[in-house]
Amino acid sequence: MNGQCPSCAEQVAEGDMFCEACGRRLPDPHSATSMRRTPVGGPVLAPQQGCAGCEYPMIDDDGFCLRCGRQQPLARDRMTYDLGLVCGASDRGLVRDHNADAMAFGLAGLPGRPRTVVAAVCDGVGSTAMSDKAAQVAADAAVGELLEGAVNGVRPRLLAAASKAADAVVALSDVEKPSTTFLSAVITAREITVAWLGDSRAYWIAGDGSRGEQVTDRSSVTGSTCLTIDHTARNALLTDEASAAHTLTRWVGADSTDLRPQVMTVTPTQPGMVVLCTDGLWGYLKEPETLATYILGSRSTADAVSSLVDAAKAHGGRDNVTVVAVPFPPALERQ
Amino acid sequence: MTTEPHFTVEIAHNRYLAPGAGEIDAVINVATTETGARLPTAAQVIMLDCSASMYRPSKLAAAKRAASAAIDALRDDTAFAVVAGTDQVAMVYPEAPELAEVDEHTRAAAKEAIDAVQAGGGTAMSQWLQLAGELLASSRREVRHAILLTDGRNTSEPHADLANTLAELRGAFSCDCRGVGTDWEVGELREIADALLGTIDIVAEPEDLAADFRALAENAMRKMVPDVTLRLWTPQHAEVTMLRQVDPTLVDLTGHGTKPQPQLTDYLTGAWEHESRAYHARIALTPAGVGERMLACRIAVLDGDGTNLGAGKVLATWTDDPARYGALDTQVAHYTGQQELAEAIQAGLDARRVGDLDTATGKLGRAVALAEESGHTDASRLLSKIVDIDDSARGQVRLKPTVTAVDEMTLDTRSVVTTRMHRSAG
Repeated sequence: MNGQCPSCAEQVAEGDMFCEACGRRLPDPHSATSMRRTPVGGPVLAPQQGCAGCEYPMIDDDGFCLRCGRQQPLARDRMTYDLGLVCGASDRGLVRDHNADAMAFGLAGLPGRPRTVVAAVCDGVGSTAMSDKAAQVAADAAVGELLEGAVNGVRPRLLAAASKAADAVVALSDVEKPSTTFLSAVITAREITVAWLGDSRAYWIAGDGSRGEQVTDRSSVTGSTCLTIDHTARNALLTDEASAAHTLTRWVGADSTDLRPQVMTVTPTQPGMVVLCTDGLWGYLKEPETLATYILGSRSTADAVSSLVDAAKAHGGRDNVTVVAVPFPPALERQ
Repeated sequence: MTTEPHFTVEIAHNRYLAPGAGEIDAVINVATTETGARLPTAAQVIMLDCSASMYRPSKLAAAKRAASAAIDALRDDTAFAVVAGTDQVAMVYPEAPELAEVDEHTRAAAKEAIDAVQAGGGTAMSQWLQLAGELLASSRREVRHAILLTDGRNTSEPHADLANTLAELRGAFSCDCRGVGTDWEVGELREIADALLGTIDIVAEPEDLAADFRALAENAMRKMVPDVTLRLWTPQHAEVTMLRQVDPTLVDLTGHGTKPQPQLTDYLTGAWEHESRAYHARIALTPAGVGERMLACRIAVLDGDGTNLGAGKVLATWTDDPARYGALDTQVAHYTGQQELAEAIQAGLDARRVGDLDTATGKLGRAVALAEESGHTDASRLLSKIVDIDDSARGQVRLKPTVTAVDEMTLDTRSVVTTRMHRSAG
């Protein structure tokens, strides 16, 4: 498949390293910034030079350093992806044994000039090893459907993505009944549409730092606000042990009774940032204007997601924390 | 074809540590699984106390019968010898300082020689043990086992002689110790049994000796894996600060490890039959940050050639969640209680001997409560012969005005026998 030079829009052939017109170096199709979607199945651990703790080169089969005993980070412990138009970071946190959060996202449109970002964030429910798989297959299935599905229209396609995610989770095991929260989004140059089941959240962060009101479906949005007000979700801080014990009433999984996600479409009136996150973030940083201070103070989208994840850990990191951010309107950052 | 014996290693511990905490406790359960492996070659030495005090006819005659019973229990081709211990040591059978091989002829000849033994002289156990060590070392047999029988104290030599000999012989062979009557010293025999990885018991009635010796020899014949070593790997800047066998009996191995390499400590555990044992390990670690996971200890079970027969891991994770780091593992708690029980019994009996009756009452009361709590019925029964119990759960007791020496020594001797965790106790 041929594409366009990201600098001058001249047609370029697959495999070209430089644009024949402007002479700029073309993005390496294998580099992170030209990746069209996050890898299905989640990350694989990159080979390391040595122990993350003491740099000793010998690590045993289970990932323990043979000198200092430190367990090497698992690939899922800290996942980061940067597709230029969209960045995400997901972290095990400081208390949980596994990272049962997952994220997936991708770019639609011409290579080098994508116009649409699709993304999914899922929070696996329960403590079994199956919960991280559930979250990962749900996010991957949703993004696959959003990028390649045959359904026309953004909202129908989001519903189809939720359905595909549910199928993927149910197919994992009929014994353990894995399940996950579900949040997906389609961000075009004109509008933002989010669909969700459960307590993962989407926020609109206004570029001018203004504070917004709660918005309704198919309305415009100006100031920073939460887009996924779920009346079934808890409304509590994770630091409050008593109220943190909540019952999730909507999810994706074998024993889910209601698989039709809530959907919200908004039309921003100014540039800004869409933030998708799990409760590991908003349990500590709930107010849109709090998120805004981290985002507006960051140099890049990648910095923004890292600073938010690190902030949740600095507040205690009791849960897995995942943040995906998309600048609005989707446009490649200046290199 | 023979198959390698295999060991299972199961770790019980709370792997969560508070921020800044640098000590982790674990119970290491090690068990052999039955295999089709050939039985190892074996050698057996029987040390009979022939000092003057044994002359009381019932004792010497019972000891002779017991030695003969043990010889009957030995497999053919086992290398064996019987030695007579006094303030010196002499071969009983064979005559030359070497081992004979068990067969019909040598069994009969050995029994004849045993019958001819006379009592007379003092007691210098280091000499007995040294000869046993030389005989067993020369045998080159895989399982090297000894039985030491005495009726008295080690009075014919300074204690240092015995201590030095034990330090030299550690790992050379295992030695089960038996005291007959009540004139011997529990602490002295316990020192030998602990150093030489054997058992200790009191045989109050001489006529019970034969059955006991037969059982000891039969146990030795059942050993499947000789010279088993526990190897503990610890991270750099960490160390094993305690290692005790806690099941079936208490044996403190702390301080008896050797370091083949900087991060490895080896502990000899002797020969194993089809059995399970438990160890309580304590590791001092350099604390890592909250959320970090560390391998605190890797346990390997090795045979005499260094072949790995089984392995386990002790993990540590730092957390600021008090519900996690505050939880006590039930097995660690149980065996900590068993160690405290043994210490309370021994301290209580020591205090009673020197006339410190308040301390004795307090310690033995605590022992009664711990025995009750852990469902250690044998310990409860033996304690009830020393103290009258008003409230066993609270440990309220009164010292009995008269206690027989046998009851006191039996409680002391058996204080190191632990009980497994009873589900109902928790």
